[in-house]
Amino acid sequence: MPTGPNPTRRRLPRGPRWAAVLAAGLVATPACTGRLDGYDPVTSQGETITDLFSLTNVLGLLVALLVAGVLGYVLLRYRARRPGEPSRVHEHRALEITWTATPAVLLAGLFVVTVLVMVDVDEDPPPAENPLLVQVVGNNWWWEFRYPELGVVTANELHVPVGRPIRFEITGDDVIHSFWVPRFGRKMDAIPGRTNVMTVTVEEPGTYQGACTEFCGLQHAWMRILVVAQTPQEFQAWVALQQAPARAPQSDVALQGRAVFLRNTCINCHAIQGTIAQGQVGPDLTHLGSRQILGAGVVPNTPENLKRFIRNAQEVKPGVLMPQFQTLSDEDLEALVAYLEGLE
Amino acid sequence: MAVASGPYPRPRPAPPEREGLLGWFTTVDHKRIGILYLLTSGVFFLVSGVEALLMRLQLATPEAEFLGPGAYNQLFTMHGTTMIFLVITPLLLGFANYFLPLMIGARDMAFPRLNALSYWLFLFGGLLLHFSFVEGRAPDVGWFAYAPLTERPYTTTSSADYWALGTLVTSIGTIATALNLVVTVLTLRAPGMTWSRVPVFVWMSVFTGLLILWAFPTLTAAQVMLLLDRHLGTDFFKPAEGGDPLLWQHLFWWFGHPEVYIMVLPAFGIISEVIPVFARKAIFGYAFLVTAGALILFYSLLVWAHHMFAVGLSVPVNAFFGAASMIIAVPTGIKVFNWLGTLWGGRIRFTTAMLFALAFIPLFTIGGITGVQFAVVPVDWQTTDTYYVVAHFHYVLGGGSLFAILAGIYYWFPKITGRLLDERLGRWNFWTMFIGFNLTFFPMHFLGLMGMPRRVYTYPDLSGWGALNLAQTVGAGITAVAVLILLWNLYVSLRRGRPAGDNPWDAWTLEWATTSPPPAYNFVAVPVVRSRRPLLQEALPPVRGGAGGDPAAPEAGPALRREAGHGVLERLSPVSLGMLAFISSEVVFFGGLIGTYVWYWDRSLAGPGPEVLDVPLVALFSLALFASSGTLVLAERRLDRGSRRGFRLWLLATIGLGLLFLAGQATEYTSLYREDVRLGTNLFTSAFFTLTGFHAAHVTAGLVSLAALAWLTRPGTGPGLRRGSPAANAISIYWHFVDAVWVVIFSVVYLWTAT
Repeated sequence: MPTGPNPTRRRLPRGPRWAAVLAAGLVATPACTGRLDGYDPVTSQGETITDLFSLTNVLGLLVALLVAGVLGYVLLRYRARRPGEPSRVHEHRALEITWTATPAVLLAGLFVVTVLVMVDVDEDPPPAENPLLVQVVGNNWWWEFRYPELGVVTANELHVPVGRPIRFEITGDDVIHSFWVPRFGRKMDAIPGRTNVMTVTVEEPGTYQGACTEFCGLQHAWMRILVVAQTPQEFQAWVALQQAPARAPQSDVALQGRAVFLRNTCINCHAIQGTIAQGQVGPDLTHLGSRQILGAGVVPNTPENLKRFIRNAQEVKPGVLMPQFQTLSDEDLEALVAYLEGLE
Repeated sequence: MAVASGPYPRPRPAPPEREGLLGWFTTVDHKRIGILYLLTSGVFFLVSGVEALLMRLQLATPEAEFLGPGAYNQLFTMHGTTMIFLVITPLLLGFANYFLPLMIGARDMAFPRLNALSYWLFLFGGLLLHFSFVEGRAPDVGWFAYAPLTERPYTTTSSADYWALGTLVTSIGTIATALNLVVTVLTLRAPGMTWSRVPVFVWMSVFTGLLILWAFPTLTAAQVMLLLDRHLGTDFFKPAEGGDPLLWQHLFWWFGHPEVYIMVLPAFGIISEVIPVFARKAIFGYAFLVTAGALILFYSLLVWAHHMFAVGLSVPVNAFFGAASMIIAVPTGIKVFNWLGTLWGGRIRFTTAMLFALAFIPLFTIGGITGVQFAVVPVDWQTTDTYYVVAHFHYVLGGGSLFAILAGIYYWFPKITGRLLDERLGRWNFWTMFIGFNLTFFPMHFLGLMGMPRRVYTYPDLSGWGALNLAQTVGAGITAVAVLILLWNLYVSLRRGRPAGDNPWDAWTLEWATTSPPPAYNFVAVPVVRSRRPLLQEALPPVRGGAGGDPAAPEAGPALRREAGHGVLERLSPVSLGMLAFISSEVVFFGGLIGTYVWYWDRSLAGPGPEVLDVPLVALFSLALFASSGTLVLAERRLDRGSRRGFRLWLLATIGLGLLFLAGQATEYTSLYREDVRLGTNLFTSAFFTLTGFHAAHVTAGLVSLAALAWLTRPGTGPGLRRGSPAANAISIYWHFVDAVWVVIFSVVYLWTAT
C-alpha cells in the first residue's frame, strides 16, 4: 500500500462504542415513552395481522443479527494489521446456492402465510353475526360516519359496539384519504368514485386514536378520528340518543342561538335534524354537543373553542373550508354556542 | 501481448474545449459534465437538506406553530422531489458520467453533445421547479402528486404545474443520459474488456440506464395527461367525469418503484468497487452479483402495485405484487452476502470511503428487511403511509444510496481533483453522519407504530410522540453538522489536500490507470484489458492510437475482437443503437397512452364513444403510412447500391405518403370537431385525441428527419450520405417504429373498439 493514507493506525475509535450505546438507546426509548398502538390491536383481524407482523419481525431480526454478526466478526478478524496475505477465494458455488435458496424458501413460506392472512382478514362476516354497516366518507378535512341501518350520521367520532363485526364501506368525497385506526390493525384508502370494504370486530371497549394517512391537502394533519368502542348496551344507548332529532333549546339563550343559526349561512352547509337546516357540505351538527373534539381533532370540544372556531376558523385550523363569522355580535355568538353545545 | 487497433474505438481527437468559465458552459467532456452533475446535485442536496431541517424544527414539539401547513406541505413535497429527481439520481449519474468511460477505457461517452444537453435539461428542470419558490407556490402535493389532489379545484395555484413541468424536463435529460450510458458501454469498451471483465459499477450503471429508459416514460405520459387535465379540459384523473385516480397511481408507480432501484443499483455498484479495494480482495461472486442486478432490473418492473396495497385491489392482484416484491429480496440478499464474502479473509483498511461502504451494509439491510415487511400485504395495510414507511425508505435511500455516494466521494475525489480528502475530518464526518442518521430515522419506526401518519405538519401531544420527535430533530442537527464537516473537508482538501498520485488506493480498475485528474483525452493510449482487475496485470501494455498511432502496431486479431464480445447489438453503429434504446423507451411511453385508452374507452359517463370514428376513411390514409415503410426500404436499398438519385426519389415518395397520412388525420379531426367531438368532451375523447395526437407528433418528427436526409442528398451537393449511413439507418428505424405504433393504434382503436 504505497501511497495511500494509512488510517489503520488507530484502532476502531470510540465510534463503535458510541454506536452500541446509540443502538441500545434507540431500541429502549419507545419502551419508556408511548404505547405502540399499531402493534397492540383490539380487533380480531388486527390480532391476526399483528401475529404475521411479529413473524416478519422475528425473521427480520434473525437476518439483521446474521448480517451484523458476520460483519462484526469480519471487521475484527480481518483487519489490515493482521499478518498474512488476503485470501484469493472469490467464488464459492455452494455458498451462493445456499444464500440464494435459503431466503427463497423462507420467503415462499412467508408468502403462503401472507396469502392465508389476507384471505382470512378480508373474509366477509357471516350474516348470523349481524355485521353493522358503517359508511365512511373522507372529506377535506373531516370524516363522516353514516350508519344507514340505524339512521345515524356523525362526524370525526366513530362509535362502535364491541364483539360485533363492523363492515366499513369507505369512500372519498373529494380527494383520496385513508382511514386508519392503528388499533384496528389496518387501514383502507377512501377514494372518490370507489367504495372499499374493510371488516373488523372490535374486542375491547375503549377510546382509540385514528387519522387520515393519505396526504389530502392543507389540513391533512388535522383529519383525525376518535373511536369510542362500547359494550352493546352502551352503544344502543348512544344510538338511541343519536336517532333522536336535535334537542330543543333548553334556555332562552339557546333559543336565541337557534334563531342565529337558522338565519345565518350556517344552514347552507350544516344539517341539524328536526330543523330546516339540511346542508350536506359540512358535518352534521344534530348532536354536536355530544362530541369530544372539534375540527377533526384540532381542539377539544369546549364552548370557548367552539366560539373561536366559529369566529376565527382560519386561525384554529388554517385552510378549513368553513367561513369566518367575524360579524356576529358577541351576544349572538354566545347564544349560538349555547345552542350548539346543548345539542347532546 | 496483443495490441489493438482497427475495429477498436480509438482515442478520437479531443473536441476543442474553451478555457475558463465559458468552457464549463460549452463543454462536452464527460468528466466536466460529470463534475457539473455532481456539483449541481450537491447544491440541490443542500437546499433539500435545509428543507428537511425546517421540517424537523416544526416537528420538534407537538402542535408547534413554527411553520404553517402551507409552508410545511411545500417543504416535504420539495424535499422528496428534489432528493429523488435532483440529488440521488443525478449524483449517481454524475459518477457514472465521470467514471464509466474511464472504467471501460473509453475516450468519452458515445454521444458527448447529447450528454451536455442532458445535463442542461436536468439543470433547467431543477431551476424551473425551484423557481416556484420565487412565485411563492412551490409544489405542495407530495412527490407522487396523487390525483385528484393535483386537479382543479383542489390545487388552483400553479404549484402542480411547476411540479409536473420541472420534473418532466429533468426526466427527459435523465432519459437521454441513460441512453448514452447504455450505448457507451455497448460500443466503447476497451479491447479485451469482455462482458465478464466489466467492472460491477459499470454493470449496475447499464442496468440503471435500461431501467430509466423503461420506467420514466409512464411518468412522462402521466404528467402530460395531468397537464392536459389542468389546462385543456381533459378528464383523465377527474372522478366526477368518470376518471380513475388509480390510473395515476398505476402510471406513476410503474415509474416510481423502478426509480428506487435507479437510485440503489448504482449505489450497489459503488459499494462493489470500494469494498474489494479496501479489503484487498477480488469481488466475491462477480457473476452472481451481476446476475442479481439483472434480476432486480427485471423484477423491479413487476412490483409497482405494492405501493397500492391499501387502495382496495383484489386479493389475487395484491398477492401477485406481494410475491414479486418478496422475490426481489433474494437478489438483494445475494448482493449483501457477496459483499460479506468479499470482506471475509481480506485485509481490511478502514479508510473513510470504506467506513461509509461498511456502514452501508447494515443500514441498507435494515431498509431491506422493512422492505420485505411492506411486501407482506397485511403488514403493509398497517404500516404504509405512516412514519414506519418514512423510516424504511430513508434507510434504503439515505443509509443505502447516500452512504454509498459518500463512499464514492471519498473514494473518487482524489481521481477527480488530484488531492486526497482529509482522513481525520473524514472520520468525524463518518461518525457524526452515522450517529445523526440513525438518531433521526430509527425512532421513526416506533413513531409509525405509535400511530403517526406521514406528511403531517403537526401532531397532537400523545404519549411519547413529543420525546421521539425531539430526539429525531436532534439527530437531524447532528446530520447537518456531518454535512458541514464534509463541506469543510472538501474545501480544505481541494486547496491543501495531500497529492493523490495516479492510484492512491492501489485499486485495480482502469480509472486509476491514468493521471489524477485525467487529461481531456483520458488515456495516452487505449488500454488493453486482460482480466477483471486490469491494473493487476504486470504492466499495462499501451496501444498507441489516434493520429499519432504507431503504424507498425500489429492488427488486433479476430480472436481479441470475439473476446471483447462484439455481438449482434455491438455491431450496430452507436447511432442506430441509440435509436433502438430510444425506441425501447418510446414503446413504454406509447404503452402508457394505449393502456390509458384501453382503460377508458368505454368508461365515459356521457357523450360520444369510438362509434363516431370513420373507420374506412382512416383505413385509407393508414394505407399511405403503411406503404411509406415500404418506400423507405426501397430508398435504403438504393443508397446501399450507391444510387443517390434513386434514394432521393424513394425518400421523397416516403415523405409524400407521410404527409398524406397527416392530411388524412387532419380531415378526421376536423370532421370530429364539427360534430362537437373535442379533446375535453369526455374520457373517450381525452384518451383518443391524446393517443392519436402524440402519434401524429411522432410522424411529424419523422418527416422532419426524412426531409433533413433529403436535403443532405439534394442535387449538386458533395458526397453527402455514404452507403450504410448510420444516420439514415437510425432515421429509418424510427420511421418503421412510428409505423408499427400506428398498426397497434389502428388495431386497438379502430378495428377493436370502433366496430
